[in-house]
Amino acid sequence: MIRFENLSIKNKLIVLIVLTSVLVSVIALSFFSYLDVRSFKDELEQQGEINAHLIGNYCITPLTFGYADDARKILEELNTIPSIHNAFVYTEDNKLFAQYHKSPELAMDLPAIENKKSFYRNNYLHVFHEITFQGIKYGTVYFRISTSKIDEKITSMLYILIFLAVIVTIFSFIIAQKLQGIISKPLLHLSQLTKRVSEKDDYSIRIKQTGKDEIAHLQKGFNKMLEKLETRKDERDKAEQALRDSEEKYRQIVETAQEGIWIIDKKANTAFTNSRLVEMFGYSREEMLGKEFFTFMDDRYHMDAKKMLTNGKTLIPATNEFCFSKKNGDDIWVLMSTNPLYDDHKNYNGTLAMVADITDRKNNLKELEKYKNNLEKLVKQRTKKLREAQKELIRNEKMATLGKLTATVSHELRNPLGTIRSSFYTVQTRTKDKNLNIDRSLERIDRNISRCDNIIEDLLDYSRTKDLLFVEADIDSWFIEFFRDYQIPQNIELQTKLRSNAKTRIDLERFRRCIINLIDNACQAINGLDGEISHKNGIIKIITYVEKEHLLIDISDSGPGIAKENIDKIFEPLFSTKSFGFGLGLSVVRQVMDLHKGKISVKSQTDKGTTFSLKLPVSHYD
Amino acid sequence: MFILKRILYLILLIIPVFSLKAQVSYNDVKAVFIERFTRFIDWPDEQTIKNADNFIITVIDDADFYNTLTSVYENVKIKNKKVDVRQISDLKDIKGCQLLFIGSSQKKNLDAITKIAGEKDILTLSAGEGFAKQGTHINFFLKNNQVRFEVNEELLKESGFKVSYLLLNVARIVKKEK
Repeated sequence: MIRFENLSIKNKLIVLIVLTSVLVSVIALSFFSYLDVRSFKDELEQQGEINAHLIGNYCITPLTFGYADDARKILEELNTIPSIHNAFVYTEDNKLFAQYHKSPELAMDLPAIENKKSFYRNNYLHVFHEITFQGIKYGTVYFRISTSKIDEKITSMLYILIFLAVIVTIFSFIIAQKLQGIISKPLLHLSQLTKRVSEKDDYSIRIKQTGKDEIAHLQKGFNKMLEKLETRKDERDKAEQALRDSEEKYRQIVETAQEGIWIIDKKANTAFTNSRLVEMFGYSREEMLGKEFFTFMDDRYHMDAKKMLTNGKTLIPATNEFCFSKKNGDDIWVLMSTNPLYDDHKNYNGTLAMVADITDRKNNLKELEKYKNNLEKLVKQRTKKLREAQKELIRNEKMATLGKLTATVSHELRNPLGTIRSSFYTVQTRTKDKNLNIDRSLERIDRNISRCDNIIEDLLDYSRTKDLLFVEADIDSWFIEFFRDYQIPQNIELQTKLRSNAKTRIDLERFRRCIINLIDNACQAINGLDGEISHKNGIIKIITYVEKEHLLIDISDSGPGIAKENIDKIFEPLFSTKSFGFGLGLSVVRQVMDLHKGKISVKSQTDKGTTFSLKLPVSHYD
Repeated sequence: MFILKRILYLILLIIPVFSLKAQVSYNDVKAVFIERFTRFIDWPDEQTIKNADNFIITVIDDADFYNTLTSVYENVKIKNKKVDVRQISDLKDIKGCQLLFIGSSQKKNLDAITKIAGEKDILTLSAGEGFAKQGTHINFFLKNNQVRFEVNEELLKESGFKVSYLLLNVARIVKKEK
């Protein structure tokens, strides 16, 4: 459907002129038609009243003398007036005196007399006329007059009206076609120029001014407007160029920045990313735009990020470290500086984040931390080794001293000790069975000679550096054989659990020395340091077993245990809590264990006892 | 009986003539018609009537009609004057009245009566066949049992009476025979 506002000005003018002409014509013609019809109706009314008056007058004497037939004849004269369909003459007391009907079909009952002289009702003009003569009322005459003539008149008027409207439309259209150019041509010209200006952006065009009317004012205004537009365009071009330069500069800054730039809107959705950011994350720009900030973030850091961005907005400028997930799934650590953005009404509008990739730094720090930890461990290890070396040094020093002592003892003590032993043997042989009551003293001498001999043996063993002679031995059988020769004091119960079923390579002599040292120590622990047999009962347990490819030998006693402050020193050479001896027994054990690539450890509880554990590699296992 | 009849006349004058014609006699109708005629006729010297005390109706030799008239007009006025009904038998007594009723018995004296009446501006009414043609102004006759009247229009004009066309419309117009 064509809308009026979409019509060209030319057509608008034509339509307006035609419409106005037709409207004015129709209104005028309608008005005149109305007046004409009105006048026609008035005339009809007047004629009706005149006829009623005349008929009434003629009926005066018939009414006076009661000549109803005369009155009827008078009414019949009305047949010359076809519009009068019915006529009645009433007597003075409103009774029917005479009546007339144009045709039987149009006959009607006597209507009641109304006060109005004439009126239109139901397509008829009704006329009542009072018949008077010289001031005396004789009766009333009534006419019912058809208004079909009025209808005919109105119909014909309508046809005329339509005909004239058509004529007026045609004429006004022809005239409007000719006249509209006066107004539309300059306007169309103006419109064409405006189009040219807008299409070609050419503000140098000017329109030629015609006349002095409103269109001329419009043309003048148009020219002035173009002048201003031209000036503004120049200014705008310059400003746009400056803006473009500035934009380009900022774009270059943004796109070449080493930091990622990330703008999120107030719903925390990505609104902008620079090249560096998409490069960092491995996504394309399209993949990031519109996505929520948190979707790129590792779950572990959601809480921290949400604290920073409460309800999707940064409350204060902040700098935080976050871990995000790259497109390939790798972690990326970033240092993020965020600043809230506000609109013109100071309402929160989003957040600008500067993002620096600190993954390498983080990794370096981790590596550094690892190195630091390793270094500490290394230092500890080295310190330990150093301490051990120091201990070794001390031991070596002690060994050097022992070496000298050994030379002296071996040469200076052995010979006199041999002499003592042989002399003692002579004394013992000669006093035997003589009941001199010196058996106990002789026994003590014998024991102490043996002890001295042992000390000398220990010293020699400890300082001896000759190669070991390893043989494979079944340890459980070895212990059984060992206890055939070795006598444990009577007050001490020996309990053995030999369950290793393993063989190990040992230097039989040295290993025997070790076991003797340990069992001697155990016996001394139970019986006391003087070496005398006490009446206290004690238990020594020997247990052999295999654990993780190693043969383990536990030698436990039920003695008083080793004092805590001494437990770290007991394997040091020349350390002894005894009133005699050099403190070499346990040092020799450890030295022998080292030479066997074994280990010795000790566990001790005060008043409950001490357990020494030997650990040797298994050479064969049944 | 007399009183009843008078009441009847009064009603007769008030109500239309035709509605009571069955109950009243021709004389009654004629009597009422007299007053109706005076409504449509002006006397040559109308001023004299206006100045007179009574409107005088004279009846020549017709006692019945005289009685009827007396009864009818006892309380009814003509031209706003009280009606004085007189009966005469001598022609000399004609003068002085405004309306003269000539009964059918006066056919032989008709010329003499009309001559006297014509001189004195007296409206002559008669009830005899052909009387109007012989010189009375208005003459009653019966047609289809209805009292009708004939008017000698020419004579009325000659006598100086002014007759309304309305009256002439319902009258039979006759001319005097020469």
